[in-house]
Amino acid sequence: MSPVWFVIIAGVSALIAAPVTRAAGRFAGPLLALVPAFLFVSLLMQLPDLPVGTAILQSIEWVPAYGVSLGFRLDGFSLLFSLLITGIGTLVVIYAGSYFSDDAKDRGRFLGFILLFMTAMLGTVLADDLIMLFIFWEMTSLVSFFLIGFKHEDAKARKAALQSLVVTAGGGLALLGGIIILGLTAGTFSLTEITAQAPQIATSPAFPAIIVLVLIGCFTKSAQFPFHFWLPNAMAAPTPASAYLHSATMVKLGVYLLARFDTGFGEYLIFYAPLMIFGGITMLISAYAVMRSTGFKAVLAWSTVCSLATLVLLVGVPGEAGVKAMIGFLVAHALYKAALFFAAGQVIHSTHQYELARLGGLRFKLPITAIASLLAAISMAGVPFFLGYKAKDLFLTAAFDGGSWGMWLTVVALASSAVMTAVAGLAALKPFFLKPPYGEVKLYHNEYYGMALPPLALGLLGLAIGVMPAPAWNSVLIPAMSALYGSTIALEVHAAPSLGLKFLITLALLASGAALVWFWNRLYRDPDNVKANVVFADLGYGAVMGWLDRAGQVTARLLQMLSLRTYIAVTLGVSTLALLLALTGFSADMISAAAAEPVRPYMAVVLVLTLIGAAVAAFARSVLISILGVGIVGYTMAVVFLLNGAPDVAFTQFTVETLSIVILLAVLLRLSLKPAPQQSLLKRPLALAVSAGFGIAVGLGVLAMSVLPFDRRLSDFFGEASYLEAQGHNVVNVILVDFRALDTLGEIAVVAFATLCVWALLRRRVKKEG
Amino acid sequence: MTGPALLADLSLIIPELILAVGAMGLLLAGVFIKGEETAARLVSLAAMALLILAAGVAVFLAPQGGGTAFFGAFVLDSFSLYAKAVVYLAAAIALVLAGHYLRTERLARFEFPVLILLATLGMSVMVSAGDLIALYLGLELQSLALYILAAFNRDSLRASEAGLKYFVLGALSSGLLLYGASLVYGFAGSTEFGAIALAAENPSVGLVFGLVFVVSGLAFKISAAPFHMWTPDVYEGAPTPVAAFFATAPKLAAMVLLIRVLMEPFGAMADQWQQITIILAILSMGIGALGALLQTNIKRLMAYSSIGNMGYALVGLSAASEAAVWAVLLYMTLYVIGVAGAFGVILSMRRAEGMVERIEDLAGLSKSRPGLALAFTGLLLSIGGMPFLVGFFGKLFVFYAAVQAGLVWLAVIGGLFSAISIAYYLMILKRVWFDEPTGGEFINPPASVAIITRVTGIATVGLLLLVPFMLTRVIEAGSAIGG
Repeated sequence: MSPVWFVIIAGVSALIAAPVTRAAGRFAGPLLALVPAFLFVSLLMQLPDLPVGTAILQSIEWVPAYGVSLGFRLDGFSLLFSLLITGIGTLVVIYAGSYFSDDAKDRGRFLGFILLFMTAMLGTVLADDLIMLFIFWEMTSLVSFFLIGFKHEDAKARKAALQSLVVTAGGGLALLGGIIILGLTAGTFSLTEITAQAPQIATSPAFPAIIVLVLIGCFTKSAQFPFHFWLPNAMAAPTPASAYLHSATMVKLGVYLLARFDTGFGEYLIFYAPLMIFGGITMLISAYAVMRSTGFKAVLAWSTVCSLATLVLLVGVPGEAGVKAMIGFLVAHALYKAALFFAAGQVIHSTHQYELARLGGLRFKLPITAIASLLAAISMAGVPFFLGYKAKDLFLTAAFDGGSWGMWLTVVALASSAVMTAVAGLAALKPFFLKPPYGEVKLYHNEYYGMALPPLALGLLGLAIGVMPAPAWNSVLIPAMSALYGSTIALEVHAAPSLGLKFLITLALLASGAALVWFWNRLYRDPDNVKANVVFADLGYGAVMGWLDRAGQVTARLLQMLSLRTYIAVTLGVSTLALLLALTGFSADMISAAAAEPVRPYMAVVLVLTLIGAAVAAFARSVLISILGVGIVGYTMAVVFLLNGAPDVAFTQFTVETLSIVILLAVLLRLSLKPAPQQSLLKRPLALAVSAGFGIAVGLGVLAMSVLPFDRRLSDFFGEASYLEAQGHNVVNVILVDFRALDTLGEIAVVAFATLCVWALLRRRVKKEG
Repeated sequence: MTGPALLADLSLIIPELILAVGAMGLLLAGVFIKGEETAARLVSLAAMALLILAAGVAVFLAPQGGGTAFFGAFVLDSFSLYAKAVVYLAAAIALVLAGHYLRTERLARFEFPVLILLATLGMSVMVSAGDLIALYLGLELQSLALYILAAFNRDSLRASEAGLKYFVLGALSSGLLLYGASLVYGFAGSTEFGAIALAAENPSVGLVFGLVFVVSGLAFKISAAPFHMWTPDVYEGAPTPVAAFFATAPKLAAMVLLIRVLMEPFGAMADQWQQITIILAILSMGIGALGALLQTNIKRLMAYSSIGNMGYALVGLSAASEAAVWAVLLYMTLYVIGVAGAFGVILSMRRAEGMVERIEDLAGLSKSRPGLALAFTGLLLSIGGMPFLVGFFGKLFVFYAAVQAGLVWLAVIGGLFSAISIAYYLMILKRVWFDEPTGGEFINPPASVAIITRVTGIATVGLLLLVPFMLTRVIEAGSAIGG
């Protein structure tokens, strides 16, 4: 099966999820789970076709003009991710079918979203083309928005949904910017080709920008400092969604893309240093926050942030050790954390109790869940013979071999491991095996098998891989490492722990974890707790959103002026500025033009008249007088034409001016005009400034233009042609009745129509009076 | 002009002839049909038929390779044909959306479809303009019809105010444009775009001055900031179907005209006008994004959204390349589809007591009308340019063109503002999906409106499959201009 089919099958299942659920009722979960299960098995069957170091590439031409193709790529690493997506997806669908057993409508909606999400995830990890990858990437963000806000009666859920989308989609935008610049630099959007020409790209001046933008995109998605706050808030989602999106798969996309880039760019300081620094900071912050959390899911969420940070850090660790540890930890974490979330969901669902501190003694009431979470927790704590042990072993190896970064790596690795162990202990021991602090916990319903078996399956799988490591490691994990590393990685995996310093450290970590569990009650009750929560929560996000809100208010106040006068002032004001801008550089022309202009006294008289007309129009108290003022300006313009050798234009102007004044007055006299509350122009400095400015700008423009040589082509043509072709001596007449005869006809028609209208107006007025 | 030459010219303007003769004929017919509502209904149907007929002629019967008519005043190329087809269909959609609304609001008059036809005729001339006279002729025909449409609900104070504002500002901007055009004519010695292009190779101060005026006038028509101020008032005040029309066909036609004017006659002056379009783009994106944030009225919000979207289109245009031309064309097409659908949704916001248009009235829509909610989600996010919806490709190519032209910083600003704009679309969607319903449920929208919302809603996803096809069309269209 070629890669694109996985995406298509998943997409179709999402579309039919709602009707199928309606028809299948309570069995919808297991029934729909057949789809991801089928995909899981099909993926496993690809294994023989995919020897280490090979990839199945599939490319469908899509937008050839822009080199965007539907490029898919299945190699060891994407296969590993796809297996996690479909495998855990199968369990999530079964689990969700049971979780929403009370509400058929919710169930259909939820399963549809989950399968849609699975489609997007498969698309992201199977895409070779970066634009495609980005599209699916953003699709996961949007589906996540709907899943977080699924319990929409909860205000916190709504807020968290918006927050997660703003953060991840905003980061996605940065990623898109990075991808576009990368595509322009490399000349291709294909990840395979980009990786191949990584050294050339790294020499481009755009390289730092690309890396920074991609890092922002990945950090938001994988909840790394300073974007880490959205993930704990996203726990408002129904637990199956938390298990799937916010722990096992979606949040790992950032890690996925970073790992992909690491193949090509892993050796460049600008790429790996931020991973180590920000990954480390996130680890420390989340390790601190987890010890201060009280909610069951909050504890798991912060520990997930910590694990993601570990993965980011390990991507940054150069060389083989980092890749090995990253893949090992990735798989181990996906298995045990999903199981723990599943268990938490069962507990919360049956007790309606979200606070870890209030839980206890549930081992006989929820026996399967208790066993499952115990198995998962042991793996998480890193006890030998479990997958988690091997992952921690590789992690410590990578940290100790960290070269110049060794000290930093060791510190964060030890701190986070200890805390992980503690979280494992808390999540597994507290609800099930410790005594409930406030009396027996009330149970609303018994264990649902649909919600108990999925975590058990994951827990057992962790144990199975730990005891019998060869099949899983050799056929899936090591090929994934090799695909990332670029050459075959040799790794011998044994079930039994190798004794030595690292083993001792592991034991020490277990002990310190146990100690943390012991003191946990006192830690989270610390009065500083509230302060810590605020500091590590969404202070920055709130500030940014608040700023945006204020910017919106200010803009609204500035823009909703609603008065026509202001609108006109702005329009003219902006045009004035643009004109003045266009005139810069022509000041010499203006000066020489002004100097060349001969002084003509009669023009001065006309101009004075114009000014008087303008002043009357501006300062008159009555509209009628204003119109007369405008009329004076119009007549003086006609005189200017007359004096400058354009008598025909002048006479047209006279006619038009007269007509328009008559019409205007006729209309106005018919209206019962209330005297408008006129304000003197002097009291409106803005209006004065705008009109003066506009006039000055246009005047300066005309001045600058008057320097230009007069284009004689038209006048010469008409001068000659009037006599030779039309046999007329008066050029103006010939133009009007011959060359432009149709125009003249049109003008006459317009004047005639206008006259008709005037006549109609005046006639009715006369009638009324008569 | 000789007979055969005239016939050859007329054969190029068959769609325009259909609209012009049709509009006159319908105006007469409307007077003689008994009953105001019957007349409105029949004339409206006939107008739709004419628009679709004209679109069909433009798409299927256009002469191979196009041509010019009336001494170059009218240009028929793949660019104008593409724009015409979209404009005609968008106008037809506006008529479909309008019918039921006008009847229930007691506004059904046969002049409405006739005015739409005349405005469309004006746009058709605009997109085919090959000289300044044709440009102005088309623009004014369009504008005059639009002035009346904006104030069509003349008994409403708000509508009259909006219409008056639009008219005064529109007249002002037309005046600016005309002044600029006469300057250009004076200093280029011709109104024809080809001759202006020659003169623009050595631009004089007169041409620069004229260019500034012309661009200011056109910026008003596409409602680019700071010439945008009429938009929210008109969208809010005018009857909703009129706003739907304003937001679609005229925007596309004016943008197409702007592209042609800037790329053809003033192509050599790109250095000068790029500065203007960049400023317009940034202001429009900013005002569109920030101004929309606190709106409570969905129509005002759409107005700000359209201002912002013109900004994104201008980002592409600022690249001044062939890729920019087709990217903007694609962007505008996808925008028109999205906005037509979104207005379909707004027209579906009718309760038993009448139309509502506050954003909070949409609360809980996903429960009462899941189909409508889903369509709205797709439409809004597509307009916002969310990936995996078709609108994303419009934004992607527009920004890509800008980046290719070295305007990386402009694309970055555009990206930031589009993130903000996605935020306000999401706030609407949060109401639609997560909030509890307030007030009564919406009554069933008429089938015509429902079909438009469904079809456009599906198109926001379904067109993804057709993006390659659309790209070949717009690239072909763009090659007529940028090449």
